Amino acid sequence: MALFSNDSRQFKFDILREIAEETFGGYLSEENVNAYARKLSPGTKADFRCCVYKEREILRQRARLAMGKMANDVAEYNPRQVVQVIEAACDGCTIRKIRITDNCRKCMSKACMSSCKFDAISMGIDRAMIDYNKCKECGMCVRSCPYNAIVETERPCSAHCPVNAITYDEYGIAIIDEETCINCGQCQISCPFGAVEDISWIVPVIELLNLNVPTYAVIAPSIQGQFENATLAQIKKGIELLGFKGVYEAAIGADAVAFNEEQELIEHIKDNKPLTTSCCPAFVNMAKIHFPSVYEENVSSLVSPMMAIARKLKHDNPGTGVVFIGPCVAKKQEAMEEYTAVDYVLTFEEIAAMLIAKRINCEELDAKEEDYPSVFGRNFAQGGGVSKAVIQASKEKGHDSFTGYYADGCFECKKQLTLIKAGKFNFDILEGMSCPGGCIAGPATIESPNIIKGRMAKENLKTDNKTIEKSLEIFNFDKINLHR
Amino acid sequence: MVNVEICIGSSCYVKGSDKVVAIVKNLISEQGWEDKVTVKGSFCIQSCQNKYGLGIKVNEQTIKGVTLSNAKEIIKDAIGNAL
Repeated sequence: MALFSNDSRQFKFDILREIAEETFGGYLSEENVNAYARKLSPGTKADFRCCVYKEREILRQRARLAMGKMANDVAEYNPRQVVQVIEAACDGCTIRKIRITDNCRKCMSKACMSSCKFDAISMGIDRAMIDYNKCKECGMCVRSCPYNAIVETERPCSAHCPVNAITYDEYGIAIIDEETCINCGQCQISCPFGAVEDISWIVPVIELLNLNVPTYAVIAPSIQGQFENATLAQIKKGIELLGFKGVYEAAIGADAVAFNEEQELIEHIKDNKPLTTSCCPAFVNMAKIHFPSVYEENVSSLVSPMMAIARKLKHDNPGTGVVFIGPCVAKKQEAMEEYTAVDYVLTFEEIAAMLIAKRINCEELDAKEEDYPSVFGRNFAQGGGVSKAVIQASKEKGHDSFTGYYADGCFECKKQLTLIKAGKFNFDILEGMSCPGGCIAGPATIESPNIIKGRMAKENLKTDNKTIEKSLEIFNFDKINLHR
Repeated sequence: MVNVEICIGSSCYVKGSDKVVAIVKNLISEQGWEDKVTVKGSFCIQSCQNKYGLGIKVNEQTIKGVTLSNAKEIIKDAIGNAL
């Protein structure tokens, strides 16, 4: 059964599953990659592209990424660039932003021509024509045409990039500028051809499990509901069966972060400078690369919940490894920062590929509830959840309340960071989430955010109304340094 | 008993440590060392930071200068000396 309705996502998943299966079995090799490129795109008739040979080349490039290599085999090795263009898969789609379509009736008012301030439109034989040497892509003609005959299109990848990191080569193939890219993965979500994908660490993680190296898994809260009706306890059990020594919720770290964030917020309010959250790695990257002064002054010095729980696990169990499992591709880069305690990051897609390769069906497992964090920590996965948790922490401590603003999506994040830089941000705390809707809408999720929201709410209703303070009594962070 | 530890941190994985695991396993069966040598994985053993090459320890001793191409020879000697 197909897991994804999007064919390119399904191909990506099939490759991950094949590679997981072979690595678990201990017979992964370069030659096999050619074999399953053929298996997944058999025969001589192409289904999606111009020919099967192109399809197979795309699958080979996908396999390279899945094995932790650069998609382009001559590119310089840079695993910090998590989000990469699969050149063969890029359709090189149109880069003309303004186009005149068949709807043009060569009308008498010629509103398009009079609206154009650059004299770029003339009347052709059967429709109006644009002189692209003069066109400035302002869009005035688009709005002026009474027949909607002029359309404004932008390539999905560059239209969704908040930091203008995407350009094209002479053949229209997308290029990501590694200096400006924040690895948010929005281009990856938006590309209809699946030509932008993330590099995967599935092979070394399985290798570690094969060799019985003690390794803990840390799961992001948005994993709730990703595997049909499996409960969180069943999902944890399933992941443990893959060979992990234990599975912990990142929400435990989220409780610790929310509790300490409140302290930092009070100091920031005293100094009269707004605080921004630090749990979304793409948001932090955006601040770090594009708003360095804001990064210095305003971004919380606390580590993310992932890092908090990873440091706790490594502190309590020296000599073990930590693998984070989340919906996020930017986390893969965060795990390579110099203050890291996380060894590898996998996505939900990758863990699903591993579970299927091992024939583990979470829904059928017997699992019992163990100690769990507060619902506030788990709700870090949803947009607005971080500020709610910090407000809850201040309520529990009996402190004054404060004002928060939630920036939903990377473009809103950019806008609010610009306001902070200009000193025009009038709230105490800015919660930035690069994916619109929060982590549940991440690039590597399996189910749609609305379904997840419902399933999360339903499952969390069953838990008691534990406070953050109560949760931290169970999971003690006193000896853990939570700062960068 | 000789313990061989191979680092599977991201830096060593990139240099090919997953292939070294296969090389060592082959070596063991080639030499009939199944009862004498165990292979384990490990996280970073600081070989990358010290520029020792691929991170490999034989009986707790770090082996320096291992690359994918000379791995078999060097590890064979190291295990041979340790046996």
